[in-house]
Amino acid sequence: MELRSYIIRRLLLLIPVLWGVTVFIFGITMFFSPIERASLYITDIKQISALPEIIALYGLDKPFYVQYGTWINQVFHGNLGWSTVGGMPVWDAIWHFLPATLELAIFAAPLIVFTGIFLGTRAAANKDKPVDHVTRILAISGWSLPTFWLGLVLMMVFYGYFRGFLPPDRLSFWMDALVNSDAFIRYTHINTIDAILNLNGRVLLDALRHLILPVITISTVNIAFIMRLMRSSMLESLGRGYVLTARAKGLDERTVVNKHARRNALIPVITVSGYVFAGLASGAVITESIFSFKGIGWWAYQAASRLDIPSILGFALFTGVLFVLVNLIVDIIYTRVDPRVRLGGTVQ
Amino acid sequence: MSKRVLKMGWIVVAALLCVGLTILPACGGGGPVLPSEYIGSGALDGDGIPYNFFNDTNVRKGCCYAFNYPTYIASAMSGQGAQRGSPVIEGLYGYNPAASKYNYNITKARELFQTSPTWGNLSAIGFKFTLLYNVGNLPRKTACELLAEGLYAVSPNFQVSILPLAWSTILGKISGTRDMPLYQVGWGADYAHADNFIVPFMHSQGGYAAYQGYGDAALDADIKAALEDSNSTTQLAKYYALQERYYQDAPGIALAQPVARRYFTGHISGFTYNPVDPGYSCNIRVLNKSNNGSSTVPYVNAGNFIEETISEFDSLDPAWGYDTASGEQVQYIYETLLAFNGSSTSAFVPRLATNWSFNLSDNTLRFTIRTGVNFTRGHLMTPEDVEYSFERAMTQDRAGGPCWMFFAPLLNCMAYTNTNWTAIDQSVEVDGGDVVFHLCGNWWEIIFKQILSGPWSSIVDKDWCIAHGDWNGTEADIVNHLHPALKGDTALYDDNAMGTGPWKLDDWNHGVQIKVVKNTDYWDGTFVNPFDSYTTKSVNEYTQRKLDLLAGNADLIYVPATMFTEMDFEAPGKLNVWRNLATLSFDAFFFNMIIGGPPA
Amino acid sequence: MTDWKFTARQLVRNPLSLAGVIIIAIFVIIAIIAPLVAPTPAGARDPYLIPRDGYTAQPQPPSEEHPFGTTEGQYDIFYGVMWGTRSAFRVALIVIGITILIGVVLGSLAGYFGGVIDEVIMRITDIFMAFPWLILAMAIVAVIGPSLRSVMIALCAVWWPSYARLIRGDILQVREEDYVEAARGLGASSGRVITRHVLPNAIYPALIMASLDVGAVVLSAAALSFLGLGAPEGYADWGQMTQFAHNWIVGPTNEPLKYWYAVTIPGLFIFFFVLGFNLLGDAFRDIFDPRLARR
Repeated sequence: MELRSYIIRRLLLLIPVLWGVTVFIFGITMFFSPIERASLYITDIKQISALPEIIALYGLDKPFYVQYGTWINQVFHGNLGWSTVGGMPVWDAIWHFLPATLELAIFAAPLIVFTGIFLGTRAAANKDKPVDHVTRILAISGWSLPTFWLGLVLMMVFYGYFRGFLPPDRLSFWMDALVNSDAFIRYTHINTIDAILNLNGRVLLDALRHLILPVITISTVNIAFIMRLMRSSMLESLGRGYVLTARAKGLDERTVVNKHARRNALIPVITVSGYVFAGLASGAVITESIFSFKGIGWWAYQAASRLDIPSILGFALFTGVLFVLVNLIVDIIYTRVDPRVRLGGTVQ
Repeated sequence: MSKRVLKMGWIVVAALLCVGLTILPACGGGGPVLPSEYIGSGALDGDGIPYNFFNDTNVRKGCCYAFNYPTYIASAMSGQGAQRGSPVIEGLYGYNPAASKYNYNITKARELFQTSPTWGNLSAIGFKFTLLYNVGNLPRKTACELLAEGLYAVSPNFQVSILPLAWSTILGKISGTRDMPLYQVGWGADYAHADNFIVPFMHSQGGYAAYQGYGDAALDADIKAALEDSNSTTQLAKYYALQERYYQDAPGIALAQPVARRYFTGHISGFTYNPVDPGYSCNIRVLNKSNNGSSTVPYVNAGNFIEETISEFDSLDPAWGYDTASGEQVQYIYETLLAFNGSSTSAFVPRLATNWSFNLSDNTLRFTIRTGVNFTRGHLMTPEDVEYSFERAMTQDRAGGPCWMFFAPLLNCMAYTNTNWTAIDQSVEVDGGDVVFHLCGNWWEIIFKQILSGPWSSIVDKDWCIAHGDWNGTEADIVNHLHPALKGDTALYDDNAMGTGPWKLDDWNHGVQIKVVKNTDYWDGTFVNPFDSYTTKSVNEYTQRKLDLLAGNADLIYVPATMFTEMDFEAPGKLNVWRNLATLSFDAFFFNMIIGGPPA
Repeated sequence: MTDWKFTARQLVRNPLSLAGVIIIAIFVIIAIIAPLVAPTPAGARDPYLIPRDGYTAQPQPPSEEHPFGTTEGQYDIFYGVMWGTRSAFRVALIVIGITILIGVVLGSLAGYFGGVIDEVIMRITDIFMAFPWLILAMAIVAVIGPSLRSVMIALCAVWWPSYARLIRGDILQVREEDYVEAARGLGASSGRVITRHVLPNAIYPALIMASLDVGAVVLSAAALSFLGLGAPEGYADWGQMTQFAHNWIVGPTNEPLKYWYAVTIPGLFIFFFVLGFNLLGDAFRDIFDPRLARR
């Protein structure tokens, strides 16, 4: 099937999925009475007498379909609404908070994927030997730790005990002032990339220093996932016919493992890596919360816990698009990598 | 092609199914016809309470005697509080130090419950109901548990269960369904006068009392009479009487007035506490940051102050912001006509006004406006700017905002809808180099000056506002700016914040921090600005705040009361701590006289 | 039936899987004997509410009457983790049980009948999976109100799509098998074919995933508790107890690990519980995989 029409077909599916997600979420929030939804807008209990006026102002007591219809109408006019938790329009809020999350994702995803692949290969190649057991225990231990516990302990050790060595937040005070001044041009609001583009080594180092702990926290929890997948995929691949042939031909074990088995074992891992990146890009709520790395995950968490409906819906649209795009890219890569699979064919 | 359409069609069907499945359960009303799910059986049969259970004074007083005040203060407030008998707390004008209070007396409580005029011997009958608190609030949970324990000690037939709910649900229940038997809320002072507390707690249309079904016309008249009394002796007597009235009526269980602390690094000195000041660091003009050799906290970011709190900033528009976080920032950027003198809540120093006088014959408060003051990015400040600032606030009148504090003294009403432009126009006038306020009664003089010292009374630049799309000063334009729905709709919301203050807005990184930098053209040449910049960050995680403070990366952090003892371990040799700061806030239980709300 | 004997023997032979089984067995024992070692005080309404010994905020170190110490607000940690084991099993088993049930029903319908039903169900799962699970769970808990029940409902809502997809995929595979054709050829009804032939063979991967997911469920519940949307304060739930402790992770500068017991003990319980089920799940996968590959 032709690539272009396939892509268009998949992108068209985006619309009903987005619609379905938003309707579903809207439906959930309709469980709340108008007064409860209005309380999002008051900052202090003293303002409680303003609730009826707020309900009228925002039309919170109108029926479900009217409110949803108003929202859809707004969206088609390019207005995603106002994010109360972000203090700005939803569209702006997404772009305001996204760079922090992307920065984490850019560093965490390769770390997770490559470490996972490496450990998985080692474990599979030495199945049931001590190396296998140790790597499996390490990886599973990382996964079994509550994220916030790991994050706070790391902060305690590397920030508290080691006297400010690896601080939280995104930048230190002076670097932050520099980055916001006229001497520094903000291209992407991703500090490391901007630092490179501005050829500023100090900002780059400072940004990296602040990234280390959050990236390690997220990665530790996710590496096990990839490692396990790689291991089982490698095991399957190592049991295949071509590996036997390669061994029979007299090739050394390393070539067999690294060149032949691994290439085929990588296929499912690639697909999963796509999901890992998508998951990271939609925000690591707890890590962002603990390290004050306020990205889109933190924003969505605030929105969800305070039921800021426009923000949640905006976030739903964002993640919907993200996941569909990632699915699409992964499927295309899959067909390129595995010649047995065709575009649009049923993939098991 | 058709397959594609079909696929999309299935998604539509699927989404509708999802919605249907979620909506359907909500539609199913049914259920018992009790006014509330928290009153058990809804009758006095030992398994519940009737909807008007708390209408009986003995019941209310019995609950007041059954509450363990000393343990509450020692545990829920970590010892940082003093019990008060009524909402009129220490520091307010009209406070009675000898006001009657309830004490923890199980015997007295039992007596009262056994001799209830409406319900008879409650100890024998027994009752059950549910106490609610907002989830995550441990002090409020402790208060509920203490009350439940106390009632259980009075009689084992009194079984109170406790349930947490989300804060928005609680707000909805207080003002909407009104189905909570008993709940806790607090109030913080807008200005240091008894009236500011008495009205919400005791006036039948007050912010809180209205929802619990307490108050009547006679009491309202008493409250009004107390406010309008110009003889201070008789006025105090009236306020003492109102405090006694609260004690006798017991519309709620008065809890305590918290005492606060501030934890600074050892390099900060000069902190002056003022209970009405919205800023967490209060008056930062008098703070000082210099390298203190005796503190082991690293001295970093010299000349810059970093404060870490948990609250978010609502808006930098003085007419919008009613929360203390916004008020704090507004105070740095803008200025008011007069300001509180140090830690006093009733003595003032001139700011943008050089002097003032009150004319008893026509109840006008006249301010002479200072000349030679420049806005940081605008023009010279004129009396027209002053007039505009107040008229703008009153014609914006956002829902739940602070502008009622202008309407009440000037026009004897509470909102724009109760008045009109002509009246507003005439209430604030420019007269040469003066601005004249027409108060509706001479009793407002002191209070209005206190109101004028608050951040909502900041002076904005009329031309700047108009240039940025704000109200242009005419009656016709009011409708375009009245009752804004979104704070972003107001011109002064964020980046346009511009005032005459010692600092100007540098950057507001939403959700992260606000930074203000020194105003080098500040009008007061005698003022030595202690900081090049002042950054207020919002950091949710206490551990991070604590580590930042100890590393010198923050100069002041918000410490919850539960962590005071911990921080005191750290303080010696590192931090400067200010203790026993009496706050002007108050928490109380509220009895719901008509559970489920009055009949339609 | 011989399959299970074979499975059991494989489990015991591998040291890691043996460790997993032992860990889980220990937790099961703890859950059973919880009321004996941590008796509920008389007059308490709900045994899952941890008794408070006073009201001061600071956690107290382990002592005779509090073997594991107390956490913020003087809640007994020992009681909390013992009864928390029950909570953990309750949450995990209920959530996994319900999600498998929903997944089996919807997955089988989708996989076996295909066509319209398949499309609709798959699109519904698409909708659920296109949204980050944590945010969806938070919104559901925020709406229903924080309690362990709403956590379970939220997690069920978030978890079922993956099971439905998995079972559907397996059923798609299995239904082409010879014995299924044969059964149909012999005139067996669809229902009979599904329950007696298709399902028992298709369910293995779901069981593997379930054993791994038990740990994930407990971790997710703990994450929700940390964000303030889990069990209420004072409830005997490991996640809630770690939430209580999160302000005390860093003690005073000269003794940073002063409150280690409040932080570490509930965390260790979570850790070992999840570890045990993960090891078991890994072992299951190792055992069942070769058999699946044969198909």
